[in-house]
Amino acid sequence: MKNATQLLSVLSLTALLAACGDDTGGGGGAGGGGTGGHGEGGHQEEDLDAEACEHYGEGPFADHTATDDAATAPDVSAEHTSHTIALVDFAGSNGGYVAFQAAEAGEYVFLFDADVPLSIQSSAGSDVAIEESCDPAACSATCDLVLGKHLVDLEVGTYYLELGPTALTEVRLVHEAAGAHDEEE
Amino acid sequence: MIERRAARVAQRAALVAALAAASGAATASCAFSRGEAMGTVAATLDAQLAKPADRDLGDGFEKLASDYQVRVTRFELEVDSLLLEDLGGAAAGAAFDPSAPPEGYGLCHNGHCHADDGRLVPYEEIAAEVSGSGAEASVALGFDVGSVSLLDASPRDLDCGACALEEGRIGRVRLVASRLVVELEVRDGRAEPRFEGTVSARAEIDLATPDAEATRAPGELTAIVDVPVNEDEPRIAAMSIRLATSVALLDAIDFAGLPQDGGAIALAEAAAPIRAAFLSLPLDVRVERRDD
Repeated sequence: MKNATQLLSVLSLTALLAACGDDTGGGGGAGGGGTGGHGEGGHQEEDLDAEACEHYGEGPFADHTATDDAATAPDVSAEHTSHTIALVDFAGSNGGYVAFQAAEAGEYVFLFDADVPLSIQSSAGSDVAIEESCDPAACSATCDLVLGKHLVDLEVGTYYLELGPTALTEVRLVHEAAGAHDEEE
Repeated sequence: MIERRAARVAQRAALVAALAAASGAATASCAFSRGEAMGTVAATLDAQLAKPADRDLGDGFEKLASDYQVRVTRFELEVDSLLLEDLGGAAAGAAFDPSAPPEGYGLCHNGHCHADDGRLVPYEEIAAEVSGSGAEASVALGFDVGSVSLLDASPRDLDCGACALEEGRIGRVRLVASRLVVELEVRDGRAEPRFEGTVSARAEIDLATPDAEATRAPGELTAIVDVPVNEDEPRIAAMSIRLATSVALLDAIDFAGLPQDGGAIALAEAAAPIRAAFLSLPLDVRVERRDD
């Protein structure tokens, strides 16, 4: 697993997410078009945590069972949803794959209610770098349920989240779009 | 062709009937004349299939979140009605309170509410939906739109006859579409493709069909506006109506899992996700007022 847990600088991630704007502006509905995906722009980190907390408690909920083969992984792309993922026998312990479709190029935050090892592969099989991960001992200042948080930069396409190995039998995932790419990127 | 013309005639008749019913007038004009006109509308519709840079693959192909790659050759929307509605005098949006969302919605936060059918709906859209939902809402003006190719140049001027507005307050723009025709070529971008080569695909999606879990009227998009019409306001309301869409509308389709007919993929079985995606499209309306 490439993402050795780093001590997440709250300031750096907050600044990063803040740079993506917020969604409090008026205007004429969600931008970006499409399926209502990324239109809201980014969130502040504390907003992300608070929103994840709300979804953990109030849903909407979706149940999945991870697979030991990425090709048959269940889709967890529905945003603003608490995805409960049952883990399977995997690498001598528990874990498995789920699939995520990025509808827009940009940064995404995956928030878990457990400190579960995470690595991400594109559908072409290449590893995706995890830019930042939180310290599980102090992952969120606003939501005690958030024990894992990972920031990644994705292109439009399908990705596989490899969870585990872990002793846990299930984890809950909420993901949020953190902001689109800058024009010059 | 004849069928299309007949459908167009029927569509115009339906629009006229709606207007006449709303106004209580027997006239077939799309502008009312119950009282003296206090203003006019000059409107454009910008409805075009956007090509986001992060999906562009060159040669007309664009990638989907599912890793399929599509080149759209036809994308037509049949618009049954595009109406300006007077919500009875109150400023639109006053009826919506995120802490007490209307039926069909729950958990409102960060500018959106969760609809029971899974959609994330911006506050503005819900406000537009609930504002004037009572008997006081009335049609102030209708545009004759018909079939719109989202591959053509945009925006286009909208026809509304004399385009006259009576005294009142326009609070909502309502677009109702009945049909979406999509033709495209599709290939799989994965190293191990789910089907070989490039295959054509086609569908006529009936947007007027309600899906079981949908909470909103089928084929209907709304936008909230606040356009007072009275002798103190500039007479002309220049209105830019924009319907933004892209191939993201097709992200949820598993093309490999659809049946083929004569070597072409029949998209009809994917109608439900396309209908759902259409209902998530933002309808954006900008208004400028001037006297001449």
